Amino acid sequence: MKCQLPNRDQRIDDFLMGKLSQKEADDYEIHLFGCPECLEELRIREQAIKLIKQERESLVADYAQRTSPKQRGGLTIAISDVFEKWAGPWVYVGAAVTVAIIALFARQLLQKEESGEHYADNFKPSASLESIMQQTPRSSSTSIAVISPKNDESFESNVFFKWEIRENEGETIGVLDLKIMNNQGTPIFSKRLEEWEFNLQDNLNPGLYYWTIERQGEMLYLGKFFIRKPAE
Amino acid sequence: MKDADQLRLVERIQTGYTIAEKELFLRYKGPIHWKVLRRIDTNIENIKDLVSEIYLAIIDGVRKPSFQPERWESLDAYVWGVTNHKINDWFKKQKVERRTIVGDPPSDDIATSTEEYLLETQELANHLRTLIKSLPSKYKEALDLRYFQELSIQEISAQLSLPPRRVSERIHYALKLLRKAFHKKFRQY
Repeated sequence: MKCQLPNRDQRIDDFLMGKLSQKEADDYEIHLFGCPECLEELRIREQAIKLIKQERESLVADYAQRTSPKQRGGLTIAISDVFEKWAGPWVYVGAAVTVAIIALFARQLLQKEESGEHYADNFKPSASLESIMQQTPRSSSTSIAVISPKNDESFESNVFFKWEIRENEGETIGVLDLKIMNNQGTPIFSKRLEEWEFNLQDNLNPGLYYWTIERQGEMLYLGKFFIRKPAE
Repeated sequence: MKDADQLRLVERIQTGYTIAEKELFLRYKGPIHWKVLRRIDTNIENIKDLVSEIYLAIIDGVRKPSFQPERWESLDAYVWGVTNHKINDWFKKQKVERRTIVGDPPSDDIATSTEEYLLETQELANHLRTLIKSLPSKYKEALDLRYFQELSIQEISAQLSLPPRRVSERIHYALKLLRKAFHKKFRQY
């Protein structure tokens, strides 16, 4: 989500240049903890300022020799000045409006296709869970091979879970927890298992679901599957 | 804590969902590293230990039955508070004794994320160095006046005989060039 903080650009400069009171600086740091967009912008600017201060001679101090005020002007400067103006807020407003219109159309199309209110929202991937899936969950001592459901597999109703697990010498697996979450990461099902298969017969609503295999609180596997309406 | 998404994450951690703890770490690993490195200049092993301590303290705090989300304005504020407290604690310990690792070493996830963060910061600095060097002179001048000489927009405006609005646009545009080039190299979104 686009950051809505007022005077965002000025606030970054004030923070980096030590112009905020302790309370204002603390409040702004808390904002940074919840706003990746501002934190990234601040990190770029903070690093640039550090470089300018530490390596001024080699980085920026040559401008005085290269350009004198009399040399300013001409077509090049005129064009770049126009670009500067184009980089103003209206460019961002225009881009935001365009993106919003496209998103609105895409959403309406999806909803129309599925002919159900909020239906498309149930299939929206969770950014955080997808991010965790990209980092292969690992266990220091356990090797697991999932047979069903395969990632992104679709089901109409029952979901069959099955996996194989390799026990290391002298190790006993014990019981495992099968947990299922909806696409917002909210837990909806949990079952402790002593066998490595399970047939889920709950009637899940159409949507995207994530599931994990856990042992004593340690996540061994994270996968996902879809429940879709039967074809008409 | 009013944000529904943050409350849900807290509830899931309290219910024992390991994956929710991972989500919390992914969400806050950037700001925690940023805050630690901004305050402390030390070796990488100490950074890993401290980030690990912070993360474990955050999780322990949330897991406690006595944790009251309503006492905190947001999860961001809680995580920031624990981070701040642990950094201050680190300085206190530094004063009285040479710091040694206490408890378990950091997990692989935390150790890797610290290494990745430091590497990214180094790459960012290298990339920005090249970019700043290649900026047109008028943008270098604007950045120098603003960030090295620390002049206000009004002062720069007087020095360059430009309206304040144009000075702001020039600085803004210089920063935009840096940001754009940074995204092109480091980010896909």
